[in-house]
This record gives sequence, C-alpha cells and structure tokens, in this order.
Amino acid sequence: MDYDNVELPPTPPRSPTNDNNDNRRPNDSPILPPSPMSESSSRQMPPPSPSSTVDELNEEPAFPLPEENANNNNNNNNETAIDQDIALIRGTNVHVPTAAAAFVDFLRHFRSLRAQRNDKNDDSESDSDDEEEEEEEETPLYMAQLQSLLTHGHWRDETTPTTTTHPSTATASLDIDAMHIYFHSEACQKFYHQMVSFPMEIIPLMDLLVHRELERLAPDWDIDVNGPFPRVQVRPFNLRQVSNLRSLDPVALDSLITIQGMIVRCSPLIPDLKVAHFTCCLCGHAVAVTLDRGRITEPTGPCPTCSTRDAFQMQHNRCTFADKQLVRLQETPDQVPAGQTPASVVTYAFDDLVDAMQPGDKVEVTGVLRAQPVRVHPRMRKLKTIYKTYIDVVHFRKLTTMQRDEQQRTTVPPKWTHERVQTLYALSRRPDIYEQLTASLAPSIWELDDVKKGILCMMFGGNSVRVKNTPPSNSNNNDDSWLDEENPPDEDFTTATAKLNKRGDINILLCGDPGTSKSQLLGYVHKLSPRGVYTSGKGSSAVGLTASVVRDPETRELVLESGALVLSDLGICCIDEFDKMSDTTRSILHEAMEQQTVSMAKAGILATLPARTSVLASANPIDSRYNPAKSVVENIQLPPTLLSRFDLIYLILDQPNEQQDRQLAQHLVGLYYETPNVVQPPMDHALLRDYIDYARQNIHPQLSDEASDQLLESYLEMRARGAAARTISATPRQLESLVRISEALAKIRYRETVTRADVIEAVRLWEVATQTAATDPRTGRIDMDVLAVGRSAADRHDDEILLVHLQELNQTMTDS
Amino acid sequence: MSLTEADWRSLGDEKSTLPCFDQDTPHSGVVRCLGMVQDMLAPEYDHTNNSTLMERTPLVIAPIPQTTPWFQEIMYDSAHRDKRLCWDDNNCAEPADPKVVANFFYDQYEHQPPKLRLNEVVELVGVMEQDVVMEDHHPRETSWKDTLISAFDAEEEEEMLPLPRLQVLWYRTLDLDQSILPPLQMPNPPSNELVASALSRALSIDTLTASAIWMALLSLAERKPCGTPRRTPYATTLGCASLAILLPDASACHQFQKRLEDVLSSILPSLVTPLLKDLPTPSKKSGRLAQSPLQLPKGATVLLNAGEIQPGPLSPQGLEMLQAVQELTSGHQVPYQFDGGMRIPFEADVRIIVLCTTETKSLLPCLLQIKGQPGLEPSDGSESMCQTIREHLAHARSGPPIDLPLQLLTDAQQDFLQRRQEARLRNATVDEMAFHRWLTLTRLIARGRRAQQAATCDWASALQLDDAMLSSLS
Repeated sequence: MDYDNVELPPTPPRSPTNDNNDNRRPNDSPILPPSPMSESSSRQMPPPSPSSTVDELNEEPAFPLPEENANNNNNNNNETAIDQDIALIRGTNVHVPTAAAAFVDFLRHFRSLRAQRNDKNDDSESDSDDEEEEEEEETPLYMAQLQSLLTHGHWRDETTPTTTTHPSTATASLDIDAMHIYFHSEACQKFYHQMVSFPMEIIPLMDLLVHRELERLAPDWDIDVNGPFPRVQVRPFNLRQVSNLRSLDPVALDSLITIQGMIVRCSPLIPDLKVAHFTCCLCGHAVAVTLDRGRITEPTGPCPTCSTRDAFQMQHNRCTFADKQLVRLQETPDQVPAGQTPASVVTYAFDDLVDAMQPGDKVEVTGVLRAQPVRVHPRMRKLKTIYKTYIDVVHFRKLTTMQRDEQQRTTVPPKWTHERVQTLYALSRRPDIYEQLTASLAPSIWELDDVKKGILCMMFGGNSVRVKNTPPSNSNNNDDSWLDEENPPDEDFTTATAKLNKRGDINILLCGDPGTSKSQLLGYVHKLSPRGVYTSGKGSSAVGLTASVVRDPETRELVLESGALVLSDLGICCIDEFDKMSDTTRSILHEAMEQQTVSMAKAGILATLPARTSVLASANPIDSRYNPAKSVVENIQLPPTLLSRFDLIYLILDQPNEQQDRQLAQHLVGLYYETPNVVQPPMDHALLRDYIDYARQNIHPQLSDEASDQLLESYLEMRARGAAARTISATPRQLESLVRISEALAKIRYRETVTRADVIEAVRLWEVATQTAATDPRTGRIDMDVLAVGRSAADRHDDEILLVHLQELNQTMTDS
Repeated sequence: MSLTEADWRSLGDEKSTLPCFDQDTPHSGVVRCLGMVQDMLAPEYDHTNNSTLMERTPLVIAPIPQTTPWFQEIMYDSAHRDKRLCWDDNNCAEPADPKVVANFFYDQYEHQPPKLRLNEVVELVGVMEQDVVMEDHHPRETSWKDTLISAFDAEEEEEMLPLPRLQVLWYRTLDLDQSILPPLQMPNPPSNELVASALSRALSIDTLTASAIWMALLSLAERKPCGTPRRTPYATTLGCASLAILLPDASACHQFQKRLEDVLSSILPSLVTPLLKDLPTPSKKSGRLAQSPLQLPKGATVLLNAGEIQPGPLSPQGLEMLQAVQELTSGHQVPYQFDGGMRIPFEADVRIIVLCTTETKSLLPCLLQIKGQPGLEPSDGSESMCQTIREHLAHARSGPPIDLPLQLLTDAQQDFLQRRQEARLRNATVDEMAFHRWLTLTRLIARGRRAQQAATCDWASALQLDDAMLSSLS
C-alpha cells in the first residue's frame, strides 16, 4: 500500500489553537470531540513521565500519508509534510506512517478472529473451500461499522451551535477490540504495543485515520444537505492483560490499562469548560479563549474596539463545555485480599460515557492511568510531592461475572470462546454429566443427592415466556411473535403488553430438622450464582426484600433502593430461615414468586421492578424438630398460598442412620486434621459456573411430541391417584412445574429438545420432593390441598362428620 | 531508605530514649509510636527525588482501643508514659475514649505490597514529614461557591485529612499476648481448676461459670499457614469460643458487668465494653473508615451487656448493628461496610463474654452458654493473683497451636455417634455444632494447662464441662 502522498488533517484535540482557523472549509478540518486524550494538555503531569512531553503530533499536525493524494489535495492546509524517516513522535518510538499504515490495513481488512485463524491455516490446508468462499464474502468488520454509521447515522449531537467558528458537529464511537488489532498482523502487534504504551499519541491518530476512512467512504458528502461531516471517537477495549487495582504502579502511568471492578459512585455531570467566550461590557466585542494547559487566560488587555482595559466578562451561556463525570471504581469483595480494605480508583468519563454506567455495575474499564499532584491546600497553588492517580476512561464494558482467569484472557478475549464452548459441549455429551454436576454441587455436603439435583434444575431454569396481552391482529395464526420467549428485553413492566408471564424460574423450599446442612446449601448456591443474593428471613423486612425509597446521603434526593429480590433479578435469591419472616414480608413474596415483579408506591414514587428470580428458601419446623405426624403446613407454619408457589419442597429430616452418622462424624473430624479433608469435586467452581451460565444464556429447549405425551400421561396418572379418595393429587401448577423441570433437565445436557427421559426424571424429582411434603400424614395419601389450602381432604371430611354429629346432638338436646 | 532489623537491634537501649509521637509537641526528628492499623488509604506516588516516582501505602494508625492501665505501664516506660500515642481534639486527658483516632500515617516504600492487615497492632519508628500544613479545626464560613465545588469534587475531602504524616523507617507487628510475656517462664503454672477457683472468688460466682469464663479468655482462632483463621462450614471460627452468661435480670447483668470489668481489667491488656445502644458498625464512606468499637485487634476482649436491649422496633441502623454483633459473637467476624453497599467480613479474633437474660439469650448467639449465679459480695482480687493469671494467660495463649492426636479424634468420633443416638432416644438434638464445641473446649482445656497436644483427659473434661453448662441451663 502506498500512503506517501496523502496528508492527514490536523489533530484538533491536541492543538486547540487550530479551532480558530477561520480560513478552513468546515469539512476540511473537523473539530474532533473533546476526547479523554485531549485532556492531556489540561492536566499537570508528573515530570518523569516520558510521554507527558509535548509531541510532534501537536506541533506538526500534518504528516504524509499515501494513496488518496489526488482526492484530498484540498485538505492540505499548505503545511509542509515531514519526511517520514524522521516522523517519530517525540519521546516515543512511534513512526507515524508505519503505525498509520498498520492501522489502516487493519481497518480495511480485518474480518473476524476466526477468519484470521483460517487465513493462517490456508497455506497448509486448502480443503475447506466452502468456508473460504464464505469468508471471502465477509466484509471487513470495522469498515462495515463505519459504513453503517454513515448509512444509518447513529450520531449524537455533541454541541449546539454557538458561533460561526464552532459549527454543530455530530460524533459517534467506534469500539475496537484490541485483540482484533493484536491478532491481525505482525505490524498490528507492534501497533498494539504502541497503543498500550503511548495511548495519548496513538488514540488521536486512530481518530484521525478513522476520520479519513469515513471521508473515503463518503467522498461526495454535501454539507449543505447532510450537515457537517461527522466525527468518530475510537474506543479501544479488551486489552490482553487485565490489571489488578492493587498492582497499578508508577510504571503504568500514561499507558493504556484495563481493570475490572465495581462502580460505587458516580458524580453529577460536570460541565468541563473547553472554550470560554468573553465580551466587552462596553462595546460588546467578543473574544473566544480556548483552554490551554488546563487554564483559561482572561483577556485583561485593552479591548481592540473601544480600548477599554479589564472590560471583558465571561458569557457562560456562549461558552463551550464538554461532559465529564467522576466515577469511582472499587474492587469487588472476591478481589480483596484477606485483611485488606477494598482498593478503589477515581476514573473520569467523558462525552457519551457519562451516565453510561450506574453504581453497582461490575465493569471492565479501559483507560489511561494518569497522576496529578496533590495541593497542600485546595485554595493554594503550592503542590506537595505526592501524586494521586486517576484514570481517563476510554471504554466501559459491563460484566455479568468477573473474569478472573487472566491466563485465559491473554489468549482468547471473550468469555465464550470457541474453545470454551467446545469444552462445555464435550462435557454435555458425557452420559454421566447429570451425576457429575450433582457431585460438583456443594461437594462438602454429604448425601442429599436428590436435593442437589433439584437445586441443579433451579440453577439451569426453564424457559420463561412473556405473553403479550393482545396478540397482533394483522398477523396470521402461526405467527408466534407475541410469544417473547427467553431473554425478554428490559421492557417496561407496567405496560399493558407485557402482563402475562409464564415464569421459567424454579422455586425450591428446603424444610427440615436443624443441622441438616440447609444453610450450607444456600450459601453454596449463593456463591455459585452470578447474581445471587443471600438474606435471612429473620433479619429481612418487606422493604429489604423488595425496594425502598431512601434519601441519598450525597445528593439528598429520594432514590429507589433495590432489595434482595430486585438485586437478584435473573439470578437466585437465597432466603434462610424463611419461617421467621414476618407476615408483611411474606405477602410481598406472593407477587414476586409468581408474577416475578415487585411493586411499590412510596414518597410519590410508583414503581414496578423486575424480580425474575428463583427463590431458594430454607425453613425450620416450629417445634425445632419435624413432627412426621403433622403436615408440612402445620410443621413450618407457612401460609399455603406461599407454599404452593414452590415447585419443589424438600423435607430434609435427621433420621436415625448409623452409616450416615458415621460419615458425618468422619467428615467433621476431618476438619481437625493438620491437612483438612477436602472433597475434590469432578468439576471445579469456574467450570461449573460457566457450564450453567452458558446453558442459561444459549440453550432454550422445546418440548418434543413424545415429551408432551409423557407429560400428559404423567399428569393424568398423578390426578388419577387422588380420584379414588376424592383428593386432589396434582394441579395445573404441578404441570407447569414439571414442564420447567423437564426443560431444565434438557438444558443440563445442552439439548434443544426436551425428551421423554427428561419428563420421567422430572416426575421422579417432583415425587421425591413435593410428594412427601404433600402427603397427608393421617392417610398417607398425596393431597395437594395440604399445600394449596393447608388442610387435607381427610381433615375436611372429619370436620364435616363433626359438624353432622354436633347438629344431631343439638337436635337431640332440643328435642329433649 | 529504611532501617533493617539489625540496625534496630544495634540501637539497643537507645531506642527507648526515642521520643514517642506527640501531636501537641511535634518532633522534627525520629519518633516511635505504638498503635493499631485503623484504616488503609489509597496508594500514593511520591516524587521527593526528581528521578522516579515511588509508591507508598498510607495507613492510619490509631491507639489500641481501651487498653488497661497495667498494660499501658508495661508498654510505655514511665519516662514516656505521658507522651504515648496521643489523641486528637484535646482529648489527651482522657486516653480511654475509643472513638478518637490518632492522626498520623504509616508509609511503606519500595513497591512492597502492604504486609500489614487491618486492625493489626504495630510499633513504628519514623520521621515526621515537614511539608504538612496543619489545618485549623475552626469552622469557616462556606459560600455557595464552596458548596458547588464540593458537589463536583467530592474526592477532595479524602485528600484533606489533616493528619500529620510519618515516614516509616522501621516497623514490627505485635501480638497483644506476646507483648506482655514475662521474660521468665513460671515454674509452676496454675491448673485450670485453680484459675477457675481464683476467678470464682474474685467475681463471687460459682466455679462452673468461672471455668466457662476462663475458657472464653483462652479462646484463640486456629489459623491456616497463610495466617487467616480457619472457618468451619457452619460459619464459625475454629478454636474460638464466645460465652453467654444468663443472669436473672437486667440489673444483675449491670452489676456483674461492673464486677467483671474490675477483675478483668487487671488481667487483660484491652477490655472493650461497648454500649449496644447506638453502637456504630465499621463503615468506610467517602474514603475514610469511621472508627467503631467493633474494630478490634486480635487478643482484645469484648464484654457485651445484652440485658440493656429493650423490646421495640429497630431502626435500620439498629438492625445493622444487631446483625453485626450477632456475626461477631457467633462467627468471630465483623462485617465492614464499604462504598457501594459492599459488605466484607473481617476476622475478629477476640474474646467475647455476653451477659444476657432469658429474654435476650437468643439475640446474641454464643458457642458456650451457662446460667450464672453471682453471689453478693465479691472478695477483693489480690494483685498477685491477677499478676499470676495474667502471666499464665499470656504464656498459654502464646504457645503453638494445640494438636489433636488421631486417637483422641477416633474416640471423639465414637462418643459423638453414641451421644447422638442417646439424644435421639430423649428426643434431643446432638448436632455438628455440639461436636465442634466439644473439640474446641478440648483444645482450650489443653491450652489452659499449657500442653502442646490435647489428651484424652482434656476430651473427658470438655464433655463434662459441656454437660454441666447444658444442665445449668435446664
């Protein structure tokens, strides 16, 4: 490629004086948005930093680029091109034409990492012709994005027109995966390292080059029709190495870094002054002063028009401001070493990154580590020799789970890499995967295999279906678009079109004797679930579980604070000591467990918040020990309306079993050995979590015909069991539970279809769990009324007999 | 530039002549001080020499909370007693106030990760920084501009801590027990029974309760090689035994609390008796960890009077406090609140005695529970008795971890099975916690007689003591 004769436009962020070039055509030298990089001149950098010196790019905005010389000669601003042999940015090893050529090559030719790999394999293997053809047709990824930006115009208005010298502009962000750059070519690898080491020089260059590519894509841009030429901010992300907040040191200053953490605080929007507008208070003469090294110099000299001194006043409404926000990032609890307080760092977000993230979000931040001297006193200019660090954010990426395997990151960036998915699918094909997963769940807890299997089903979950109230009238009957299955968007839960909801989340209640490891199971599930919340029914209030309106201590405004159920949306809410919960709190759960929303109205705020969560609860009997002669409802004193919302109710009883006692004793004694006995699970924690996460996100099995038949058959059989004794042994709620469990079992094996075997196992699990709980202790028969209304048919029958006898007695006494 | 251990040793007795840190009369030279790591601040880069930036970790050092008079005498020689770690806000006259934070920093150089942990006791030698401008504490008038600035620049407050800074040259961590070890071993250490009997007389309480108190004083967490306490699957800390003493009513709790304070302050280096009402939990907001009575160094003792808890609705802060204290008594860890609603439990390897009534006994769950029967008139505990128990306790707690031999564990397993089966016949429960309790008591009894390994007799004594405590409750 030949770039020799093309000259790039100047780099406005680093050379603010260029903004006042009145002689340029509007589309010749676009004013780039005030990116984080442009802040470099406004902050005082520590002296030893090599890259803090003024670079060539600022002072010599034009440098040679080849190719489209003929088309772009009018962009030349009459500035002399520098010989490319000496066009190094001062203090760096960045040879601008080489770096530019590498990046432009990347922009124009990169398709995907898979394509990259295949390209490398092409020399040795040529048997995959079809794939090659497909890839040939694949358009370069980033060129497609730029084309899309031009076509669809995803621009945002950056500034409003103020004066003729500051025209309206529109900007957009181009997120570039740094791993794409790294794996594209050897030249790009060098470019990647330069980008990481000298981001304040390279990222503006990337902005510039992307702008040139945009111009190339739209050579006939008419500013009268389309407005001023839009600009793009390049936002690299996903670096090879994720730094630890604690490991940041002075060596990393001014380099591009990636760190992970949780956002704990966001400041209000800070208007960051870029261009100040002064007018003479006598004659109205206007002067624009641009920010220079962090300061605005007030014009104190005589006014050019009326020669009055000290007559200039700043016109705030005519100044140009950029959006800025202070975002504090803190380590998550799992990143904090024992005995240390969580480390945190201040980050500054600019432009469209402002308000992009909220407190509580787990994010991966890519940005430039900077340092700033501390003042002796905020009102004094005297500086200490101490520097505080902060990060200018280039990119935010929201994380669902923390990615801690750095070794893995260095080779493959996204969480679900091809290799990882292959591993997961290979595991899913194992015939004993169900047992392996069961053994991997809470391996330190003995026995309770069926309970663990039920919990496993809960963690995988069924398919949730959100049914719109009004099916589309103009579509044909086969159109299922009104069934929004799985991953419902974060729609407004109060709208009328999203009222009917078939939940896919499975609720489980563990009930039984104390000391049967119920709490440990809850604790394990809480740690395994990426959005798990653990709470105790004893200490929970209704607002603690749902949401409350509180006054923000910093802003003094009323804000909505989410409780446990809302926080565990799309996750699992573990509630220990469920029976100790107050009636008010329990009543909140009715809505949450079936409709999967929580509603609240307080202090003028009406809100319906999503609570698409599975509830895993544990309860102790009221008499400390479970009384088999009483029903579940009598034992744990929970309202039947709430009990019936649990798909599986396990009774974990401490029954005399010498073998189990012996194993328990051995296990307990093992904790006191010098090297405590630790059961090694077949799958480690990370793999188990990935296996479940992938299934939850990507596997959505459908009921096959044979599975449907089996479900129907099983349900009818369950109903028939109670028919003879006139009891209800199964209700439609149980049928729904069976569907959910069957779908979860199919997800466990990564199948897209629910099979007959899944249904049979689901029925078995249900029978093991709920059947025991729903058995009438007096008759030994299954009676769902025990759970549904709290009284069995036999109880009601007895009541009727008693009533008849009382009436007879009354009649007899009256007669006598 | 830092002092090595050899440099420090070569100073010999000279080190005792180093002036202690005193805020009222700031020294410009080398000073020494003793305190607890109360907070950890964000790392800073220092640029004192113009070539490179050096990273340092500022740690806030506060006085050891509620140290007892005899401990202060030992730790600070008489010449410098008045100049010991001084307090802020003219509170030097009342050094026992635990809510005041000492105002100086600990800095660490050479890119080392902080070796110190929160709440660790340290002795430091360093040079006072000269470039610190001391802030006047007089409130000044704030204008709307100040309000605007503070709204946009909330982080400034963190940098504005008006604390003197200490460039640390040398430091060492201290253990409260080891720091008071007498130079010579006691020739005939008293037996557990003898100590219990002495405590019984001093506190005017039955011997069984005195034995339980002695066990609580011996409580010490078993630790992993990395230094963190070993936790059981039941959210408790291995080796730690908190004690709840049931007393007839709130006034009895109050009286016995006074009695315990008098006696234990002669035996223990640090005794904290926080008021449960308005007890703040440790929380770090706006960059500073607010000092709380629940922030305690290893080896401190907490005396809680649950008798003062009254029935009624709890405020959110009250609920938070109660949950934190519950976690302390049952699990020997305290949750610390951090920005963003983050709640991280920190170890609290402290000795805990809870005084409660039958109404409040389940509010603060403890491993050991006993019904106390205090007498009317306690006999005066002699100074020599206190000295003996103090030294014995320091020796016992400073010993190596108590090993449980295999034979004992096998016997324990058999006994557990047998007792579990017997309990079922009585419709009672013998669960895992009972087993842990027995083994913990076994360890404590062995520690009380300064053995390195528990013996079968310790196991038998532990069962006997546990049975007696349970029967006292019934």
